[in-house]
Amino acid sequence: MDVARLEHLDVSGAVDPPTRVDIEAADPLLRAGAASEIAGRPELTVVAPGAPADVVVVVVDQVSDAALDGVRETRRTRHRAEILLICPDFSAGEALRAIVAGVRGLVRRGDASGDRLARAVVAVAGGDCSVPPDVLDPLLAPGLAARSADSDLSEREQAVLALVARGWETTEIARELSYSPRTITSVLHDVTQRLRLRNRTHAVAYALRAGLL
Amino acid sequence: MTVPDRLPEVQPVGVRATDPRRARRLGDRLRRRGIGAEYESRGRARGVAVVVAAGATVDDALGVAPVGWWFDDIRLVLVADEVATVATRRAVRLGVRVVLSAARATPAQLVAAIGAARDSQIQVPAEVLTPSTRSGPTFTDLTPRQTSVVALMAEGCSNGEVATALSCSEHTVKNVVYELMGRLRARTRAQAVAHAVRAGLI
Repeated sequence: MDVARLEHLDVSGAVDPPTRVDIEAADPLLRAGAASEIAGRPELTVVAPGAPADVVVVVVDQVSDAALDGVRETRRTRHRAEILLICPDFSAGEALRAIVAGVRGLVRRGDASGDRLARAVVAVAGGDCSVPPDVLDPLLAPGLAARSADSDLSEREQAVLALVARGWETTEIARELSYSPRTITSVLHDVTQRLRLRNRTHAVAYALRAGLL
Repeated sequence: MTVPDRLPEVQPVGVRATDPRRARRLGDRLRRRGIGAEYESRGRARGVAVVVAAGATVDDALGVAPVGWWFDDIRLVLVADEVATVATRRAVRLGVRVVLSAARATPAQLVAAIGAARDSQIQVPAEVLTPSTRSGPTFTDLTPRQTSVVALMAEGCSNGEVATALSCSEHTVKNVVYELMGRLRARTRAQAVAHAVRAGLI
């Protein structure tokens, strides 16, 4: 294998079925813009809003609570689709929060040239995560990042959630931690309200994905 | 040390692998998409901006990357049969841009991966970013239906919402949840979800 040779270009006709893409954006202009970047690429096809899709491209202004609520809702209602988030800018912490909420890829809006957007769609459809390098650190060690900064969960909340994750019920947890059952329920309620989660099962999934448990 | 923003559209890509057959397979897939492959000898790779290195594991693939790749600002795409989390994280920290699971390295995925590497976008399998257990009980794989149900439970769905999402009856969902509790050895929904996330099933 000591020979350097150049394989000549030869494009064959074999194609995988096109990846179905839906675009969720606040206004039609943004949607049209994203759609035009994707249209004309044989490997991708833009579907009607709400139609079955492999990837949902979500265009937002910032990684806000409302944006993440939308992401979580999409995960519940279009669970077979992976989500790619387009946003003008985001910090590493915001990227982590987005990934924990269920986003598989992030692209900065200014960078979202047709090629980059299309590539991220293909990557995410294939089961990969696609992110800019500057947001990498917390993603490589989410537990550490969450614990070193102000963690999203208090020690008490972590203790309760850890037992919930082990299948313990409210009264058992109360006895173990020397609280009243009402306190346990209240702690769990605080967590779900503050982190905008549905129930204790959702909270356990969140804590695990965020590396907090 | 920078790479020009706009690289020529079809530039050959370096291919390195732990064995010739693996290299040839990769080269064939690239050729199908109009990308030339350059099989360099060991040593520095000149004249290519991206090298695809393949092996059974991430570390094997990294092992056949051109000597001094980071110094020459070569963008690396690693293709491995088995993508272990720790090894992948280590590789990315070293400057590898893209790590692809060989099972998913179709021609289309390879082209996208090469573009991502040129572009400095990081791409790794999603499983690398979700925590999974290093030790503990191992579970048999879940059926697709069970996986869908536990995934939706992890998003906070009630049985009714799961039924709507999967277009089936709530009765069916309850049955699947019951199966899941057995399969995942869980007393509660929360524990079932915890086991599934930790095992990397969702």
